[in-house]
Amino acid sequence: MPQIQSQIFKRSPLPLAAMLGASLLLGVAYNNASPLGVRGAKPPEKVVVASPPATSNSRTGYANETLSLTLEGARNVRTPGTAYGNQTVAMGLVPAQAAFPPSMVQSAFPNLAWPEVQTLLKSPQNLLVDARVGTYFQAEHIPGAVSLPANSPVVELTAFAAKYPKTTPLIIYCGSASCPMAHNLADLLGSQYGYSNIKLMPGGFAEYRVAQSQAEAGGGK
Amino acid sequence: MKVTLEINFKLVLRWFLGLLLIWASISKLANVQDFYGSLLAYKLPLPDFFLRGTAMCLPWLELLCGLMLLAKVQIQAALTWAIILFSIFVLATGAAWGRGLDISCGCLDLSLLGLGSESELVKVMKSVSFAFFRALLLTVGAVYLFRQETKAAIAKVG
Repeated sequence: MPQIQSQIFKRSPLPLAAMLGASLLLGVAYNNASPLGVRGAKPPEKVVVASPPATSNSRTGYANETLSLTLEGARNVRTPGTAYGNQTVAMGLVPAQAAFPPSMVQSAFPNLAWPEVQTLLKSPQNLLVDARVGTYFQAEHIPGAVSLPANSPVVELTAFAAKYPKTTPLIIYCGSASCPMAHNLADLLGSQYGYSNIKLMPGGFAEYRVAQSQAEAGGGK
Repeated sequence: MKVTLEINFKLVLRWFLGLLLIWASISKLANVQDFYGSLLAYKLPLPDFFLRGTAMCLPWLELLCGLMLLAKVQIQAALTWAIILFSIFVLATGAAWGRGLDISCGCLDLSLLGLGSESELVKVMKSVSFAFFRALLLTVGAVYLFRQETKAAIAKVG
């Protein structure tokens, strides 16, 4: 037994360290290159709060609600002419349709690319809904989105329906083009909860992540 | 005859552990965010940057271990890491099970075997209690293989 222990300590440290180092390097490189990778730093939280319109809106009824869209990581989504700042966002380096083909899931709802969603989000009437499970939302999400996992229990769906009027324009996304959860949630909210204005962002979080990477690359030049 | 059986058993065990580690790593690398979400679900008292670092690096460490076990390169180092990883899985799944967390262990992608996510078999195989016993068994297997390999190395030298 002492012989075995001495073998462990004599032989192992260098290869062990080398394996760990190689894994670190590969992990960092792979995750930075992949649109669905995990980044080392979490985006800053609650940077800007965009309040709903102060005047009463008969269509949405937001005036009497305490709805606020919290824009996590807002420094990354600043666009000229908006309240968020004056940083230029370099979009369109890769056409959205080329980078993110239409959803692999058949859908009756209108599909939007991230630049279109970004434009719509300038209006606080539009509500961005994250259909992924809660842990993914907590990890990272598109700024301003609210979480409503497609597999939410009825009580949560009912609470959502009570909070947001049926005419609220909803834009729903999930992980990527292969993810069916946005479509499932859209179906559910449309058929069982009476929402009439639903759009999907089929590219999902992956499309947003790529757009962010391009924006950061463009901003860094 | 006994020697042949033992050698074959060691070979089979090494290949089994190697392939399992490669499978586990590919499952995680296919969607690292899923794996990161699984790590968050364990509700471990660890800082976020540590969990992110784990999600980024652990699949690659598993892949390296698996490939080195199959290729029989630096096998003691690969087995040492395998024992460390399996022991961490035992602790994490045991803690989650003990706290009654109803989570998927995030270890292996069973859809690669063509198993639907709704079947009872998949539910059992994805459960945290099953993951705990599986990790425990794998740790025992890796320790056994490590001891055998070390003995063989000592015999070769001395």
